Amino acid sequence: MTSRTMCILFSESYGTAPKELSARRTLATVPFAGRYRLIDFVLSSLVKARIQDIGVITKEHYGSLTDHLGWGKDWDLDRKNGGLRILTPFTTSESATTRNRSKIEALLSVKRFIERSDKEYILLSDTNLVMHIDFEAMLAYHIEQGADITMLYQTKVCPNHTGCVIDLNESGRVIDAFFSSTQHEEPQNAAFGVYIVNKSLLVSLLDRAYTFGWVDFDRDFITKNINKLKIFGFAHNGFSAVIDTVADYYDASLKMLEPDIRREMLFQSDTPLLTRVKNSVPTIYGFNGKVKNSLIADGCKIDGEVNNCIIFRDVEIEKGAILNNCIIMQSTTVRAGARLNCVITDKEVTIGKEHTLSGYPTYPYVVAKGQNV
Amino acid sequence: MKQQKEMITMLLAGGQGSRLYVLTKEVAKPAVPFGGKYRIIDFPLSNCANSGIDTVGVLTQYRPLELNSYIGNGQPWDLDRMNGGVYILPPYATDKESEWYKGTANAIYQNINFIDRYNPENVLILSGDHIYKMDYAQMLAYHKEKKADATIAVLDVSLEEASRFGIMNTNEDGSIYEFEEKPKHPKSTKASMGIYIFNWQKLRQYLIDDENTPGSSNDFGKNIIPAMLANHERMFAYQFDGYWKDVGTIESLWEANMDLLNPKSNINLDSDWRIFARNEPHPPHFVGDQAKIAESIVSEGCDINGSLWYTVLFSGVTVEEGAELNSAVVMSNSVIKKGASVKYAIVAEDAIIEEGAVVGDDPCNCSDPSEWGIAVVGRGAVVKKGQVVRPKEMIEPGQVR
Repeated sequence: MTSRTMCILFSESYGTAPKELSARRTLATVPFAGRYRLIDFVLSSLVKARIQDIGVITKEHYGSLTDHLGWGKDWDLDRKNGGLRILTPFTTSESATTRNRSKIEALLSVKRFIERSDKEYILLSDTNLVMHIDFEAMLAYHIEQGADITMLYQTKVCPNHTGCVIDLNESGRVIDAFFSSTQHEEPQNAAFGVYIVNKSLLVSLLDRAYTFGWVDFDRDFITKNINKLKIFGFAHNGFSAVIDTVADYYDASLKMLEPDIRREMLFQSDTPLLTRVKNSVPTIYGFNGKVKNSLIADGCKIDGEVNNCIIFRDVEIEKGAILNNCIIMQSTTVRAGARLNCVITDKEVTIGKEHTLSGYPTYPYVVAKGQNV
Repeated sequence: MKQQKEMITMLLAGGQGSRLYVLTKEVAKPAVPFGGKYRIIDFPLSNCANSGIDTVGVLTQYRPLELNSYIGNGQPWDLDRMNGGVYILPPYATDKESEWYKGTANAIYQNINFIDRYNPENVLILSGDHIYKMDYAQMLAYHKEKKADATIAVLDVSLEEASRFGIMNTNEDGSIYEFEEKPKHPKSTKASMGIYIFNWQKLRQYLIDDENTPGSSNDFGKNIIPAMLANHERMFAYQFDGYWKDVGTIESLWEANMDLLNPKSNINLDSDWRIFARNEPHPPHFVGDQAKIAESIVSEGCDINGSLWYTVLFSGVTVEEGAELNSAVVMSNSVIKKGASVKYAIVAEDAIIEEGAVVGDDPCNCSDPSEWGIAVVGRGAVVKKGQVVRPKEMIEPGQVR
């Protein structure tokens, strides 16, 4: 069943994104939880469901993506048949105006790749999702319902959700789908950017999109065809977070420190979270190291105080430095006596001696890559 | 057609390592874990990778399954090559006979065909049970500069220690005139590190001659080196002065792990000369509210809520609240439960130390020093609630105490 499925991943959101972290890298490769990149979650779910034919659509500055994914070896996706392919932007004289400004344009640019595939089902997914998706169950549901399109959703209270919300009837069929940006206090069916579409349907929708100038996936593919097509909703169980803003990123990151979520998302042995494997040395703690409630990756040298933090690889925290509620990315150095509170440092940042920086839990302070404070 | 190589490596990894007792019941010594995320064999293999050697034959014999699967295609050490790479070389049967590797020299003798395929000028012979970082390319440069037939790496040891090693007595130019195995009255302190570079055509002939010598123990130290000296071949000692440790005993293995925590020990994992290992993608380790960690090494996937002091934790170890570890080495996926105490001990993989159990003790609490030693808990063993494993005691793999 999963062997009849091909997956296309969108490495960008074509909408909101945590600009401070994704300005110079693909959204899919925003570092997360100490050693991962966002795309690792969806890739690991795909590998678990034995979906091994995966194309990743790129837009611009996708160097970080090719760097991270390589030939897909670390996900066991370096396969003779299928495997992982990075679909780079491709412009011809006819398509010169198409620069992948939307999901539909992105799909149009890889239409030939879709057409050539011998698979029956196409799975489309965003990559800014921090969740373990049961693709096998979703696909089984899609086939069982005889659906044209199946959308993944979760009923939850998410006041800041801006995006597609769906209504379902008793049989699970989607009867309404609309964009919501108003604050909600009651639970709603928030849709994730994850769809299963029959291949022949997707190809014909793309033809129509070209004809009618459709650009928005949810509006033009789903809402406009809601009566014509059998569109079903498949409910996600378990933790989920969509990373659209820096606040989302910060919130989801610190949630990984909560015992149940940490176990579900990172430490669960039946869904191993796969990522690019590097050769870091183990972390070494000095005489003055004091660490509480934190995730610490390999290769660090810790001689300062660390509370409620996520520390990536090869970070050095010198004696007397105090960090609270921070996310410190790879190869950052925090010098002696510095104090950081609610700060996100991107890669290769140096925080000077005795410096104090502070953000606010709902508005973390971000230090850009390579900066020397 | 194989391209001729300047030098290939033959890595002797067949030893049982019987003095590591319970730690080598199920695995060969080179596959014994070390330093949080490594195995002993990572050191010679990484040295090869960093020295630009792209062909390594690994001679296995004792319990090779885990070693073979660990080495795999050699990719972590950059040894997945089109021409060359890593080869596992177990003993094999021929149309006439089948025999085990009888000694270190015999193991190489049985693989003359393998070496001939690459027709190397020189062969580097290593053993898989030492912890050190060494640039073999520099040793090869010295070997060529001296136009030597054999070059043997030596380390300066103290005069007292010298009688435990094979000692090279040299002239001023570094040439070796005498070799003494464990001398009672050592004339020099240049101890052989078991690292040899031989001119291949020379060595090839000596291996064949040695094989035809009845009663020979087919050993490099006992037979090949003395025979070459007797024939006045050009043999030189190559002085090495970094960290080097034979981790053939429980004490030395424990000490080498502790050396990683001592900045003065001169063994630094985090440097340009990286030691590579086959890694699994574990999550970062988690440190809880009750944890106290100082002067320790912690690997990925650990979940720590107890206190660590001079301790080396491998990946996926759980240390529960109130557990106390001091000068301990705890290997992958072991669990130290609430209030347990592990001191001056090695706990192998997948072991469980239950609530309040005590493993090992501080030598200061031991009135008779001869009674004291490192306590060892074998792989998959369980130490039940409140049980005591005394210093020097060993729990067999899978045993329930």
